[in-house]
Amino acid sequence: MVAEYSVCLSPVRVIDCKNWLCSADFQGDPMRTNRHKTRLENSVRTNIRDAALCLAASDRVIPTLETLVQETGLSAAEIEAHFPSMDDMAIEIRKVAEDLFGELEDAMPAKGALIPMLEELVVLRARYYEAAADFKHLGDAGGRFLPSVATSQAIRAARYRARLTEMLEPHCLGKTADVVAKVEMMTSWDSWRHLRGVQRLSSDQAVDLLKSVLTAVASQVNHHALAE
Amino acid sequence: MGSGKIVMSVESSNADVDQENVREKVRKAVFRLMHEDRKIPDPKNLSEKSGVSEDLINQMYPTIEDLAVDITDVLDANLAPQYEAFPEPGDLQDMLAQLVEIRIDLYEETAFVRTYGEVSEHMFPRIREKRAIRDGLFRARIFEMLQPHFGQKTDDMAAQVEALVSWEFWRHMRNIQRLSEEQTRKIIGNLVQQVVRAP
Repeated sequence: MVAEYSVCLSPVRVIDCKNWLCSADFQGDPMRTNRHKTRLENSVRTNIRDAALCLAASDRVIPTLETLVQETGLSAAEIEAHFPSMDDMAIEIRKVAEDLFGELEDAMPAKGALIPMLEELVVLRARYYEAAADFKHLGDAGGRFLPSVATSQAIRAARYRARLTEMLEPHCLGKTADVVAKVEMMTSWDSWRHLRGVQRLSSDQAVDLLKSVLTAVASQVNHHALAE
Repeated sequence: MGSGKIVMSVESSNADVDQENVREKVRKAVFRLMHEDRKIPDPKNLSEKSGVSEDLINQMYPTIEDLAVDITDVLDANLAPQYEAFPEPGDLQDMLAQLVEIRIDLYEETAFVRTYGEVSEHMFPRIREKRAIRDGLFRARIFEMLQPHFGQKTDDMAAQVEALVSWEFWRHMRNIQRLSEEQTRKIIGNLVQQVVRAP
C-alpha cells in the first residue's frame, strides 16, 4: 500500500540538530536572538516530529524516547522539553495529518440517487485511505495507548456518521440507523485495511468489492421503499 | 467484549518447566502493561512488572519481535480449536449463518488479546506472516464451501464473505461504532444474507 505523500516532511531532518543548536550564529541583539531562537526551536520540534513519523511509517518501529534519541541525535531531555509525553507528540502529528488529508477525509458525494451516491462514497473513501494509509496505521497503534488519539478517532468517526446519516436519511424510510451502520462499516478504514492488507486486493478490486456489497444493501433499501 | 480468559501457558516437559514459568510471567506482564497501564512493553518495565531480571528477559527475547512471536505462538496453540471451527456441510444459508456465529464467538472471546496483537502485526514481519498463513487457510475453506453454489463467481463471493466475517469488520462494529454483540451479530448476519442473495 503506497501513500501518495511522503511522511518525511521537513528538510531539517537531514541537519544535525544538536550541532546546529550549538552554532555561534545566535549572537547580537536580544530581539534578533529571540526570533532566531524561536525559529530554531520550531525546527527542532519539527525535526523530532518527523523522526517519529519516519520511525513509525517507514521503519515500522514504535517511536519511543529511546528510538527518538537514536533517530534525531538529540538528548532525551531535549526531546522531552518539546514533547513531555507521547500524547503531546500524537497531537502534533494529528495536526500534520489534518493539514494533509483533512479535505480528502471530509469529502462526501453530491446528492443524487442512492446507488451512485454510495459508489462515489466508496471512491472518495478509497482515495483518502490510500493517501493517508501510513498515518492511519500509526493512529491504529496510538489509539491503544494514547488517550488523545482515541478521543480524536472517536470524534472523527462520529462526524463521519453524522454526514452519512444526513446523506442517507432521505432514502431510507425509517431504516436509517441500520443502513448507516452498514455503510459506515463498509466504507471504514478497518474494512479498507482488511481488503488491502489481509486479502491483498488491489485498490480497484477493493473498490469493486465494496461497491458490490453496498449495491446489495441499497437494493434491499429500495425493495423496502417500494414495499412502503 | 472479550472475556479476558485466554490461557497464556503451554504444555511443557519437566526440563523446560522453569524456563516456561519465567516466560509465562513475562507474557502476562506484557498484557498487564498494555491493558492496565497502557504502556509499550520494554525490558525495563517488563522486569518491574514480572519480577524477572532485565538480563534474563533480554536473553530469552533478544528483540521485542521475539517476544511478540512467542506470545502469538502460545495464543495460536491454545486457540486452535476456535480458529479451526467451521460450519458442517449443509444448506448454504444455514452454513453462512453458522459461519457468522462461529467467527463472532471467536472474536468476542479473543478481542482482548487480538486488539493488541494488531499493533504487532503492523510492526513485525514474522507476525504478519503467521497471520497471512492462517487467513489463507480460512480463505481456502470459505472458497470450498461456496464453490458448489457460485461456480465461476466464487472468487468474488468468497472475498465478500471473508471480509464480512473478518476480525477487522467485527472490530469496527464493536470498537468504533460501539454496537452491542447482539447488534453486531444481526448486522453482519444480515449483510452476508444480502450479499449472497444479490443477483
